[in-house]
Amino acid sequence: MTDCTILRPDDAVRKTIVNLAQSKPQIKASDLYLIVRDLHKEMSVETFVEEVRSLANERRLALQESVPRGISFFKFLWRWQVSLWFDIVVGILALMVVTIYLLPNTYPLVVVRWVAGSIVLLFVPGFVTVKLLLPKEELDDLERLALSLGVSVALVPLVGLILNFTPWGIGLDSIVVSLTFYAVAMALGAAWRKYTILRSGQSC
Amino acid sequence: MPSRFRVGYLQAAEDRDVPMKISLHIHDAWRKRLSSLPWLWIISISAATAIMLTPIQVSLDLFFSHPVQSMYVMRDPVAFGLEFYLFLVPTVFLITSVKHSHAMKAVVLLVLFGVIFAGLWTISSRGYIGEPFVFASDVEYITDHSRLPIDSQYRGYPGLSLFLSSFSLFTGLRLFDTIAVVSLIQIVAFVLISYVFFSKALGINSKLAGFCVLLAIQGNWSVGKSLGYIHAGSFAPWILFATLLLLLTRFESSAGSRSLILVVVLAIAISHFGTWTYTFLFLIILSFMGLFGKARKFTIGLLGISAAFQVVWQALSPTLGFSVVNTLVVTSGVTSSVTPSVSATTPSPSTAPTVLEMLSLYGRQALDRLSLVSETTNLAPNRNPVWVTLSIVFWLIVTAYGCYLGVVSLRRRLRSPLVQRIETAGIVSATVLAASLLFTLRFGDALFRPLTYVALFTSPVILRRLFSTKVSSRRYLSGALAIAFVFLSLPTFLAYNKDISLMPYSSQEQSLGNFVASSYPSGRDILRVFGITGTWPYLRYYVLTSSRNLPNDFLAIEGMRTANETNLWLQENYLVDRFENSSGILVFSALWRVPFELYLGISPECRPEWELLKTRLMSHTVIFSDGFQNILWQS
Repeated sequence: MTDCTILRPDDAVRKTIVNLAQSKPQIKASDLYLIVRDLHKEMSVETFVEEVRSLANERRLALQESVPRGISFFKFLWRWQVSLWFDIVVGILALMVVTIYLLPNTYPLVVVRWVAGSIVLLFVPGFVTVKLLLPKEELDDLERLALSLGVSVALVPLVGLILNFTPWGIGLDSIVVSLTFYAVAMALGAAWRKYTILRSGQSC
Repeated sequence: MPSRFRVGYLQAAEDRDVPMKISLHIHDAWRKRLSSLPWLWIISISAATAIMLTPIQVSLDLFFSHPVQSMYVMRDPVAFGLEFYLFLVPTVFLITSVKHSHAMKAVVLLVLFGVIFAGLWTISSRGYIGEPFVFASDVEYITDHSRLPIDSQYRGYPGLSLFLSSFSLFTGLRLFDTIAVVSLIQIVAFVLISYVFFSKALGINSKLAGFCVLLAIQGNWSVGKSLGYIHAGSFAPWILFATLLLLLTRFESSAGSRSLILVVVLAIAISHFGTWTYTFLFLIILSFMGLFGKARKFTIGLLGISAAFQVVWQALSPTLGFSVVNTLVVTSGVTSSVTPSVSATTPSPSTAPTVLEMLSLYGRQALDRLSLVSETTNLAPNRNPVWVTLSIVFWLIVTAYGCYLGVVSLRRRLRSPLVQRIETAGIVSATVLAASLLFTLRFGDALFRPLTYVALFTSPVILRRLFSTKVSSRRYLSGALAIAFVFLSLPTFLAYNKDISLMPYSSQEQSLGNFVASSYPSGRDILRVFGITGTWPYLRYYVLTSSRNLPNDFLAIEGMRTANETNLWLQENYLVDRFENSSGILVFSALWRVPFELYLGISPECRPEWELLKTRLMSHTVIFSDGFQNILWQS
C-alpha cells in the first residue's frame, strides 16, 4: 500500500466556487472550472469536481444536468443517469403486470404482488404526474414522496369513476390497462419535457 | 469526469428563502451524545414491536359496560403502561433530535408512533373498525358488477370504495385485509404529508416538525381517535392535505401545479361531502387572504368547476338525484342510514322543543362526542374517572387555543408569509364550517367534525407562538409542553379509546350477519330489514353478499335528533308499525335503549313504554337470539 496525502483545498477555493456561482446564477461547470483554475493554479479537474459535488451535497450549490447536442430523445431515455426513474417506473409496472397475470397467487410469490401492486397504486400515478407537471420544482425526496402519495390517491378514484361510465366498467383488466397506460404516457411525457428543458439549457 | 454527463449548470443555492429557524431547548451536547447511541433505536423499535404483539383482549361484546374499556382490554395494564413509556420516551427524544438531512429516520419513528397511538386497534381488530362493512359491501358490488353500487351509503361519494376496489384487485389481498392495510397506510400518509408541511411551516427544522406531528396526532381528539379507522371522513382529508403541499409550490405561475390542484379538488368532490365543503370554504378564504394573487381567475374557475362537478355528479347519482339538504344530512352522519321513504314519513314531533331544550341537547351531544360522558353505545353505569376528562379537556384547550391564534391572525393576513396564511385560512374555514353545521343541522355532534381539518394547522401555530416568547419563558414553556406531552400520552391514548370494546364490529354482530346471510339465499324476493341506525351497515353487507342481484330494503329509525321523550317513543313504535305492516325482519337489540340514554339521560327500562314495546315485539316469531340481539320475522 502506498502512502498518499490527500490535499484538501482550503476554504478559499470553496468560497470562490460559491461566489462565482452566485454572481453567475447559471454557469457551465467547464466555464466555472476555467475561472477557478485561473485563481487557484493548483486546482485539478478531479478536485474541482469533488468540491462541486461536496458543495451540492451540502445544498450550497444546485447541480443541473444537461443533454449533449446530438442526443435523440430515444437515446436520452436509455441514459440511466438522467432517466433512471423512468426505467424504475416501467420496471415496477411490468412487475405488477407479471405478478397479476403470470405468477401464481400463492405464498410466498404473492408477496411480490402485494408490494408491486401497492407501489403502483400509492406512488406511481402521482409520481409520474408530478414529474410531468412540476418539472422545475425543487422538491426534495420527502416532498416528492408525500406529493406523489397524495396525488396518486386522488387519481386512482377518478380513473375508477371514468371507467364506471365506459363499456368496460371497473374490473381488474380495465384498471390495470388504464393505470398502466396512464403511467407510461405520463412518464414518457415527463421524460420528453425534461429532455426539452435540458436541451434548451433552462434549469429544471 | 466521473459522470458520463457533463455537469452543465451550477446554480447558487445560498439565496434560498430560509424561513425562521426555531428549535427545542434540550441541551445540544446531551442530545448529540444520546441520539448517536444505537441502543435508543433498539429500545424504541423493540418496545414498539412488543406493544404491537401484546395480546389485546378486545372482548367485542356489544355492551361491555365499563367506562374506560381501553384499560381492561390489556391482559396486564401495568405492563402495557411500562411498554408504552419504554417506547414513547426514546422515540420522542429521537424524533426531536434527528437532523434534517436524516429526515427519513424521523418519519420512520413518527410512523411507529402513529401506528401505535392511532392504529393499534386497527391491527388488533384486523380492520373491523370504523365503517368497514359499508365499504366492504360496495367493494363486493364493484367486484361483481364492475359498476358502482346504486344504493350505497356513500352513493354520491364513491372515492374510498373505488380506491379500496382498485387496491384489492391490484394486490390480491382479501377484502378485510385490504381495509386493514389501507387504514394503516392512511396513518403513514398523514405522518408523511404533515411532516413535510410542518417542515415548511416551521423552517427546515426536522426536530420541531417531528414534534409538531406528534402534537397533531395526540393533541387532536379527532385524529388521535379515528385516524386509523376506515371511513370517508379519514380518507378525503388525506387528499386534502396533499393540496396544502401543492399550494406551497409556485402554483401562481405554474400551470402544472394548478392542474394538480384541480385534480385533487375533483377527487375530494367524489370522496366526501364534508371535506369538499371544507375545501371549498378553504379556497375562498385563501383567496380572501390574497394567496392566489395573480391567479384569481384560476381560483374562480377552480371553485366554479368544483361546484359544477359536484352538482353534475350528484345529479348522475342514480337513486337520490341531487339534493343538497339530503347530502348535507347524510354526510353529517346525522341520519346516515335513513332511507328517503322513512325520512319522508317519520312522525313529526308532537311538541316542538324549546330553545333551552335544544341547547341542552346540543351540549349533551357535544359532551358525548368527546367521550366526556358515556360514549354513544357504551352503556356503562359509571361516569368517567377524572383523569380521562382532564386528558381530553387539556388537548381540547390546546386545540382551541391554536384556533384562537389562527382566527386572531386574520388581522395581519396580507402581511403574513405564505405558510402562515394557509394555516390561518385552514383554521378559519374549520371554524366557519363548525359554526354553520351547528346552526344548520342543529346537532352538537357536528361541531366536532371539522376538528380533523385543523390538525395540520393548530400545531405549528401554537409552536410558533411558543417560540416567539422571551428566551427565558420559552425554555420553561417548551419544557412544560414536552413534559405534558409525554406525561399525558398514555392517559390520552386510553381516554380517546375508552369505548374500544364497542368500536370494532363484535363477534355477535358478525354472527347475526352470518345467520341472516345463510337464511336468506339468493333468488328470494326483496328482504326488508328494520332496525335502529347502527344495525344496517354491517347487515347490509351480509344480505347483499348472500343475494347480490336483489335489491334490499333497509328501514331504520331516523337520527333521533330530539330532546323529546314522547317523540322518541313515537319513532320506535313507528318502526314497529312499519315492520308489522309489511314482510321482513326486524333486529331488536339493546341499541334501542341508546337514544334515551344518550339524548335524554334516562334509562328507558324504567318506563312503562319500554315494557309495552318489548311485549309488542315478542308477540312475533323470534328466529334468532343471542341475549343481546333478536331477529323477529314477519311473513
